[in-house]
Amino acid sequence: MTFNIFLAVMYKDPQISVQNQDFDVNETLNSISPDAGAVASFIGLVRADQLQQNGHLKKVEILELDCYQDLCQKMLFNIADQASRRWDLTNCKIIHRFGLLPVGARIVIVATASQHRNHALKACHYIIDWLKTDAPFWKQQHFSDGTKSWVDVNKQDFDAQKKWL
Amino acid sequence: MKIKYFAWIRQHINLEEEDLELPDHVNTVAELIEFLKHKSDGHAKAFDCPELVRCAIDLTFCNHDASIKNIKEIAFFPPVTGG
Repeated sequence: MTFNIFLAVMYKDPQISVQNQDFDVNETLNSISPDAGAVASFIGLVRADQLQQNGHLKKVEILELDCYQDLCQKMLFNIADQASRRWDLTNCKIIHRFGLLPVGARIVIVATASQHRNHALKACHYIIDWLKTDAPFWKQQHFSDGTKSWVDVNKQDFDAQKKWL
Repeated sequence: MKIKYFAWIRQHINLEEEDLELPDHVNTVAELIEFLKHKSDGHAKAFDCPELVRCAIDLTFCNHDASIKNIKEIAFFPPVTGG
């Protein structure tokens, strides 16, 4: 815990969970709301991607997330902790799932709380941009024709991260 | 030393992890990769393009020139795609 003398609010350490189970969005937001004037959030979902290959269209049915759990826990805490030091947050929570997730399923939630909306919004944006390039998860798409494919890195994710440097 | 594998690297090798005794001449990540390439066809395929392989030593990201002396665990994986 860190005592912010200016705001006279106790900042709580970031809450991090790397899990297979789904999470409740309202419960997550409510859990970080005490002492806040603003709460911002990002939720990542499994997208219904399609791929045109050899003349036929195949759809993503399942997204499989592999992860290095111990390192994920550490990196997500570090990213959230950096955000908390850069902006005045009263609380922060990240839940990131792994395992087999169907289209439309929730993958990740980043929730930040602050006395002020700019701090909550910017910290939330910062965390998801850094998480995309630094948190050890890997995605494999399972297609409707039975094939699977590992998702490639997206250069735009690295460009997004650089904006914060 | 425990070696962990993730994503397509794990799939090629068909192992989540293994414990190995290393010869004395293997002192860096790069040397370990070169050693592992000769272990099986799966290992050779996994490490065919070392520039695509990232690693972490004892839960800290590292480069291929990092020392592996006296470490507990090293993990090999592709660039991350989370979020």
